[in-house]
Amino acid sequence: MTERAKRSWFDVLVDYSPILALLMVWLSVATKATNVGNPYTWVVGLTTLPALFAILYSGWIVYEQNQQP
Amino acid sequence: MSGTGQGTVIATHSGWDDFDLRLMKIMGACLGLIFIISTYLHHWAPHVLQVPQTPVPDNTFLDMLNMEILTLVMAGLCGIHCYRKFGPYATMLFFVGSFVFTGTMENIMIIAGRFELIPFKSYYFNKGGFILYFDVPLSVCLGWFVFAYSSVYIAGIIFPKTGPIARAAIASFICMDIDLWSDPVMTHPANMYWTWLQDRDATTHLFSIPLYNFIGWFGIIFFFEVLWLYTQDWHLTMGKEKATGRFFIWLITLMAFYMILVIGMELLIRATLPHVNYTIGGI
Repeated sequence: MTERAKRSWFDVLVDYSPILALLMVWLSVATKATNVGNPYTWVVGLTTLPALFAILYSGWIVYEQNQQP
Repeated sequence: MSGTGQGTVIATHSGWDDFDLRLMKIMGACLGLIFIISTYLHHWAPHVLQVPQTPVPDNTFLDMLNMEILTLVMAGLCGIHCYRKFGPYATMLFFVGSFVFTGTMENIMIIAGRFELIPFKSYYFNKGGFILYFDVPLSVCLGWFVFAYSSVYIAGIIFPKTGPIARAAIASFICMDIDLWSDPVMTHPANMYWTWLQDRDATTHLFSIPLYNFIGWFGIIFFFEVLWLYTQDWHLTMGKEKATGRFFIWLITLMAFYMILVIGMELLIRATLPHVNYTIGGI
């Protein structure tokens, strides 16, 4: 059994925690945006696409790196 | 170098030593004392700091507890991540440094604005939890740690070959970009997490938020991260006691510099830019 196979779910959670944390911030803003009741809120939300892309892309890079032996 | 995407950051993981434990006890005791006094003043003696008593939606004790637990869990996981990558000493510097730097800057802006010690009104928090660091909720300070650490990690993952300044700038841009949406949504009357006190015709607004706020977001993350990226391995050459002392001297110097910069920037915006609200559909 390799060292990677011994990693627990908690280790994986910690690996992704900075990415998950910022994603949760973004999602919580999106949740609160539903209270605003102005559809233009979502247009303003488009301004955060670079940050959202960076968060998701970094998650993909970490995933790819974790797949390597 | 440890892990992936760490760029030029040097891992300093060497386990806990006596100095780390002593530092943790001293910092923990100082912060704990501040939390107890601040929380008492905020909830039971609000007249001392003239805390505004604004009725806000969804702010029961359970709401506050949820917010605090959620941010504690996120900050805890990020703290463990930082510990595994950089070791206990660098993690303590990052945690206490980001907490104290951002939390203190927020407090200075809030309290100085309230008592008219700066030439413009600022803002105050309505929600965020039960425990306070002076007049800023603990969850907000923990949120700053999460923002600062997560963004600098993500910047390092995506651009692993960047130096400390470029990396801090990318991280700051990520945080500022999220705040472009977060501030208008969270301050909307339907949410009211915090309240801006500046009149719309007093300064330039972007999405109904004073423009200097967004520049301030970039600056506060940028300055702290540059400091940490440059100083987190100082102890390898000069010893932990000297390195810690220098780190906090730089931290205080940066706080003073940043405070002058923010006030100067807002005065410059007022003097040079039109006092209009650049908005999309009223947001």
